[in-house]
Amino acid sequence: MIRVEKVSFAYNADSDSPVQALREVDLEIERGQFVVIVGHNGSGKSTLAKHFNALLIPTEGNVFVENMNTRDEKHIWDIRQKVGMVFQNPDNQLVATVVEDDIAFGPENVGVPPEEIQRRVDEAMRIMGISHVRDKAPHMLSGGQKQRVAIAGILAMQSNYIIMDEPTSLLDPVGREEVMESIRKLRREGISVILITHFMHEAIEADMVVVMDEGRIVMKGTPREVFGRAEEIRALSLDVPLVTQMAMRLNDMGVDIPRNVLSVEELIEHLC
Amino acid sequence: MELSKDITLGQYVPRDSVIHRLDPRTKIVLWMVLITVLFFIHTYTGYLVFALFILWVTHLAEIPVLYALRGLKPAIPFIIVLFIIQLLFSGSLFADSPNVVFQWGFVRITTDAIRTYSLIMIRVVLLFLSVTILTLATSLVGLTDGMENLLSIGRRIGIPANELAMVMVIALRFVPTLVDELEKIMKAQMARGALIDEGNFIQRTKQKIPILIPLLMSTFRRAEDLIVAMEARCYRGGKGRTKRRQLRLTALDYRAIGITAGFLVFLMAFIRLVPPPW
Repeated sequence: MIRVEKVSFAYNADSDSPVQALREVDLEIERGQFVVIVGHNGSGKSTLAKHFNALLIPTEGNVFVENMNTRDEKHIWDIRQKVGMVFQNPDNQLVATVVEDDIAFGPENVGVPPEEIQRRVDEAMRIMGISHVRDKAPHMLSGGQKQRVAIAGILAMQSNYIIMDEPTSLLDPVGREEVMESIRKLRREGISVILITHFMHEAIEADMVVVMDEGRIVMKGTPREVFGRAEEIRALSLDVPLVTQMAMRLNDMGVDIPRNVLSVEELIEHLC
Repeated sequence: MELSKDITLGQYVPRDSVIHRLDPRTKIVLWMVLITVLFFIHTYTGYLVFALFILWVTHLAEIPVLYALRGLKPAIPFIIVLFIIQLLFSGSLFADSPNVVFQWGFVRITTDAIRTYSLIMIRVVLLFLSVTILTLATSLVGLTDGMENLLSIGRRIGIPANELAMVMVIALRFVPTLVDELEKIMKAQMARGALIDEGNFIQRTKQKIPILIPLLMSTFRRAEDLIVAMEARCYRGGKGRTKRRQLRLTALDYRAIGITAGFLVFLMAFIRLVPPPW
């Protein structure tokens, strides 16, 4: 479990002009959960994400990963091994000249024996469906493939949680779907995914949606609960998914349909 | 304007030859020994023996000799000009040599000078060929692995072997990415009317500035991203690190070492038996 307790964080906290990015955030993420954090630019969602793997340490409050405090320097590598991270720009996170070497990078860093590394690399490539590009150079892959390599690199480290910081924002629609499909696979493997995004439709399959604004968590709940409160979400200059919008319009027009529909199938079922 | 199309990193020719299958460490060490020996040969016949050995290795590596020599082509005029200049202007170095072939003013060409400079040129060509065979028959990954492994012997005296190899790997990894970026920036600036290759030297140099500054900025941004990504993946230098790819010496490597040692003994004996001038 990742537990965030009353966390506040300010960039340049020691200077005359600190920038307050998080204000008293409380959050609990269970093993195996799929959590989506949404919010517009500057809402603090990326800052919060960097607290989960001790890239940032709270100015106030505490973050616990499986009961290890991120403040504790001696746990820092255990925490980073447990909580992997996929970044926005796929080009800037792959370090090796060959796909297979890149996936092995994490396990090599934590000192896994060579035969075991090879086994994990093969397994990770199989799950992510990238075995066929194993000896390609990263620059020859598509954006979606690069992100899958990044995810495989974390799988090979046997992390229990994977944070994804806007992993789809630089990808084309095909690449985005590849990443969403990868998230489904990770869930089947029992790995928690914490997805930071500003595409609302990516939140539909989540167990929990967390809405952030000005460094605070303003809404938290299942997608159905959160997107049911469309007016509040719009007030934060965010959108609800297209299907939900459509259901709401129909509801406004007097059609007998709930306001928190989340999928096309559901919409069809209610209409027919 | 398609720069990334012609980017080939290194010049590795993938084959399944015995030379390719050798452990990169064996290749690097034997290659260093061979080019050191090259500097101790001072006879034509000695070089001939050495050349035959290198050609045999080239043949074993299944690389056409002409292909291996192709890279030498742009250097040929340079080598010839250098040879002529040295012949013409080094007369004073061979002032006491009696075997004058040609004399005119201060230009004094002796057979000794011709011999000395011919040998140097042959040495340059053989040096080039040896280096080329090594890089043609060893992948970049193999070369970095081999270097890291060999350097790690010096870890005890403070040589950061893993870190040096990491720097090399990252550099190789980012060359194509940065070339792509360069291309994008050039196109963006050209779309705004920037001239790239016009005017005299100074003008052309100035035109590079609006391309290089953005490239530099973006490179630093990438570097920062990469540092965070590496730390998130538990990178903390070479300490406690393992390697997926293990290098292992096989019977093939011992054979290569044995053959090379045998060749060196033969070469030394040969040089003794066939003394200069030939």
